[in-house]
Amino acid sequence: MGGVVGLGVLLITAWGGDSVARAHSPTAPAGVQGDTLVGVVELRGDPESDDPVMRGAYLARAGNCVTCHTEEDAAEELFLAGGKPIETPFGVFYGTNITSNPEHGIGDWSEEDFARAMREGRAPDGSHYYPSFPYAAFTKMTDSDISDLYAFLREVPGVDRENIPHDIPWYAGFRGSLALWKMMNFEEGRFEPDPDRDEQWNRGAYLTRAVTHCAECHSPRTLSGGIDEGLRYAGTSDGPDGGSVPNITPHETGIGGWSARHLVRYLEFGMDPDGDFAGGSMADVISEGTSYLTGEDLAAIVDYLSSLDPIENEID
Amino acid sequence: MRSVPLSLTLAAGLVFLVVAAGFTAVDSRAAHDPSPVGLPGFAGVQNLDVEALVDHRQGVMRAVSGHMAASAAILLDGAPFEDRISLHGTALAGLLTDIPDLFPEGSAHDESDARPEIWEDFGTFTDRGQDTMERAAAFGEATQGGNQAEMTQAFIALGDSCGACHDSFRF
Repeated sequence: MGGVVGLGVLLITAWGGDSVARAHSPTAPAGVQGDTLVGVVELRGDPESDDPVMRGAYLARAGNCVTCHTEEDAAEELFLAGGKPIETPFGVFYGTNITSNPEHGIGDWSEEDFARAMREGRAPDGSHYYPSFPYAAFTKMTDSDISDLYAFLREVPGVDRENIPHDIPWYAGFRGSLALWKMMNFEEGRFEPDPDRDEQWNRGAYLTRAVTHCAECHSPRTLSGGIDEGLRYAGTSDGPDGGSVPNITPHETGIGGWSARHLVRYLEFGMDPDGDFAGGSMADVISEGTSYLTGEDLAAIVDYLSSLDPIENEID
Repeated sequence: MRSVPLSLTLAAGLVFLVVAAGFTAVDSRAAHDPSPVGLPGFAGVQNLDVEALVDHRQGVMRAVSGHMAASAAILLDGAPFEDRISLHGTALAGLLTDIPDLFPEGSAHDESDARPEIWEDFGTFTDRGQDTMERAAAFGEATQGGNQAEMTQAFIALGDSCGACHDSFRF
């Protein structure tokens, strides 16, 4: 409980409101009531904090843990308790409970268990995870970031909520086939900075490839379910929730006509250059994820995306 | 056999063409499916063209987008048109007066981005629309006052409301 109280204090002091365009009010409630951490839902975290819990809270937003592991419009008490359906061409997957509940969540996981899930896509019992959990990206995270994320998740109050079984075809339900998927589509390894690029570009590359995992949704899939590397980031008309996902390479069929200012604003606030607002899955990604990032990190992501090779791929 | 003067033939032909064109126009309108819909906010109006409804609400939404983009340019990016901000605020407050009325039952359309969840959970949709309406009114009022911080805060709040509704109810 001491850790929870400590986090509660941090929550109260965490609000900075570093930009007028932030989507999150610094006046949101924070504190501890019983064993429920009121305010954790709106915790922005801080990548520069001395506290690993605060850095981990930031990564939980950046990595879209909240987006996929919290049911839409759920009560605060169900924060990170799973249940959110993610419709894919390979079936409906349900975000799992990653609270500190030992039975249904990850409360009895060691840090090594957590790191193995993130790096290798393996559960504590050694079984393989479905790639709907984007470990193909998370494997590139630094050891310290994975450790910070674990520190934060340990502080999320446990929720006694059973996971919902995925609704997938029988052949996809055979987890042994996942070993084959991994052989074809997964390579474990850390992010390697490019010494020829500056710090901002490398930060953006790290966030985009390893943490925010944009390519997982913004790329078409091959028949085996891996990313079509020739069209990485070029969008797909067969994305999550049955919707189309835009091309985010700097081609005119993608984000070629967007200025850096507009791209940052979109990730921060959801508004596009025409004054329209994101809908569907991207609205969740923004409201629960990218809107919590610092202006520096958003600029870094935009810098990286703008440096990609432009790919012509018109998405309806 | 008596011959018919050329001028009479031409006149008869012209009348035929006009009448035929009229029938064709009526048939054409009927063919594009004027699905009858009920409009809760407009008692007595029971049969409307869905395509027209969609055209109207998309036009309203485009107008909203235009005013939002212009407001962002002024408030967030410093475009030197502060004296025009109340025009945009007033327009947004007016355009977003009653969003649910723009989405009557039966107005789903292939060319629309409206999700079926709108009509499956019309109560939540109405609540979100009400929230947007209130925030648009607050923004409109703030632009009358001219306080930069208040206008910006109200603008962000309105944008959040747009995003919250699109999150659940638009593809």
